[in-house]
Amino acid sequence: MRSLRWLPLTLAGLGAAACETMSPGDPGNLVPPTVAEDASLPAIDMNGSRFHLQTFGNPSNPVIVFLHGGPGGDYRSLLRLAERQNGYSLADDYFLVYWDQRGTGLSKRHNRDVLTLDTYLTDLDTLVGRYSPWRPVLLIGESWGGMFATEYINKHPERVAGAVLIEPGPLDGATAERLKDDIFDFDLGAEWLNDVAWSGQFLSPDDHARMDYERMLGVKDGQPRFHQSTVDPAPGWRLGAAAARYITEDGQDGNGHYNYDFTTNLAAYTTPVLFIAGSWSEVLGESLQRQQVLRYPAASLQVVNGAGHDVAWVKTAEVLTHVRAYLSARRGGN
Amino acid sequence: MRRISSITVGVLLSALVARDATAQWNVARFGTDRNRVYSTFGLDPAWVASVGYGRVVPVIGHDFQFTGDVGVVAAHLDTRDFRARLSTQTSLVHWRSLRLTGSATFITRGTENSIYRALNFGSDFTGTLGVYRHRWFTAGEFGFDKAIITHLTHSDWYRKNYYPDAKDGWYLTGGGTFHYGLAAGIALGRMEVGGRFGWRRTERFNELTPPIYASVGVGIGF
Repeated sequence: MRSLRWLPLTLAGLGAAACETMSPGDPGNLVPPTVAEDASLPAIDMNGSRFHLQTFGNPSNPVIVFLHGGPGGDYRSLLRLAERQNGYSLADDYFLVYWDQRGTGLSKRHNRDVLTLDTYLTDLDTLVGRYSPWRPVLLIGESWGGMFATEYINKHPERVAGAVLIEPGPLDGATAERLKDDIFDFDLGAEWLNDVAWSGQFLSPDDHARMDYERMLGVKDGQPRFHQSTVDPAPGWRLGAAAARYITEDGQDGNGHYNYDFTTNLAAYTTPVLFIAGSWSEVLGESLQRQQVLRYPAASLQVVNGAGHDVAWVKTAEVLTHVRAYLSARRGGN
Repeated sequence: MRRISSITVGVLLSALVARDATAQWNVARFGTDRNRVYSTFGLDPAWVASVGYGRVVPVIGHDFQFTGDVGVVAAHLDTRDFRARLSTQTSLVHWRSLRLTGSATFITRGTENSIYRALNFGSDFTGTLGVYRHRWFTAGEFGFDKAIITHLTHSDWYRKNYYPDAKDGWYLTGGGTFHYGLAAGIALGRMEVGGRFGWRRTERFNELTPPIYASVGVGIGF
């Protein structure tokens, strides 16, 4: 009988060994496959990478390029802006180009060397050149996408016919330094932060899939002052952890202080620009945007009531009303 | 009766006063008290509070301390994030007060967060080299904690809002962590107070959040 003491342990070990096991780094296990791993996804190749991209509408119409948030997010949360609301869709009058930026969403992953602000600018310029080679495009950017749009306008004002910036993040490093402690809830006792720390024992960030997966841990609860919907949360496909980190770091100096400035040439951009903010949004909401509209010579702000930072997702119809009015004015040359 | 009282007082006192450290105790005191109750608290790697019991057992004339402890993440007393450990620690070689110690630990961990729920079985092997006197010790430590096999279930929130086809099941080698730093302790009567501090890296030496660990513990021998 004495020898049977080891039987349960032995059986448990054999049972575990017999189970079908998986590797966290394999495509499709923790996070969805990217266009580099799933050929059925809509994609284009440019600048030595492969991008997840969808278009809606007539290619002969004026082009609107959508710029998602992050850095590291994806365009899924902006897709409602392509839907028909109150009998109208932007795709009726415009050719809509949705794409996941380099290393994010379902686009191909990359390492640090090509995840830079300069590469991002080149990607967007190539995209603009491909879909609208003969006339300037319109940009709709949300959060980081609003910053990215501003950076592009700052660099290539002649290629942008107008822009809608939905809750854009800080347009310069000084503002980012002022706000950086408010963007995430870094209370050491915060449950989400302890979840991040505890999770590292189960899945250590040693490959892209695990890094991307664990990056999700802060999404639901990490930004309480953004007041995003818990009933109807904005969805995504995959957070690109490497892109989020390295694009952010590219806007910082060696000591980790933000030193970017996307506004150095904005004074030359006299085209009207529309800012939109959610009334509940604290950090990147109305108060910040009232300051940021002043960075453009001709910008205005619309505040949508009853929404936080995810205003484009939860108040799509109201946002589209403002976007449509702005675009109509742009077409009329006002 | 007196023994029961001292155990009870020890557990209560250590639970109230102490905070986390893995079981790196003073091996030079293994011959003093054969039993120990202890409590630890610290950033290891989240804010964790643990209580445990250890007993020193001679094996072929060599003292091994066998310990068992349970801990939970202290932030909001989140009992979904827990661990249970069975460990043994011994002095491997020594020259005067200089000792090389080793510990081996079997770890069961659980977690539940916004994107997944998991149960993990793992191991930790840690070595220390330092000066171990009867009343105090200080040592450098180096160890490796390996998540050997993990059962992972993705949350409904994650499936609904991000990836409906995420795979539930057993995952092999989900993670591994090197830890290296300093451990020290001092004896005050039957009480031993210790602390650990150091850095953490993944098994491929990438950065972790948080990059450090720091914990203190108190044990009472009897």
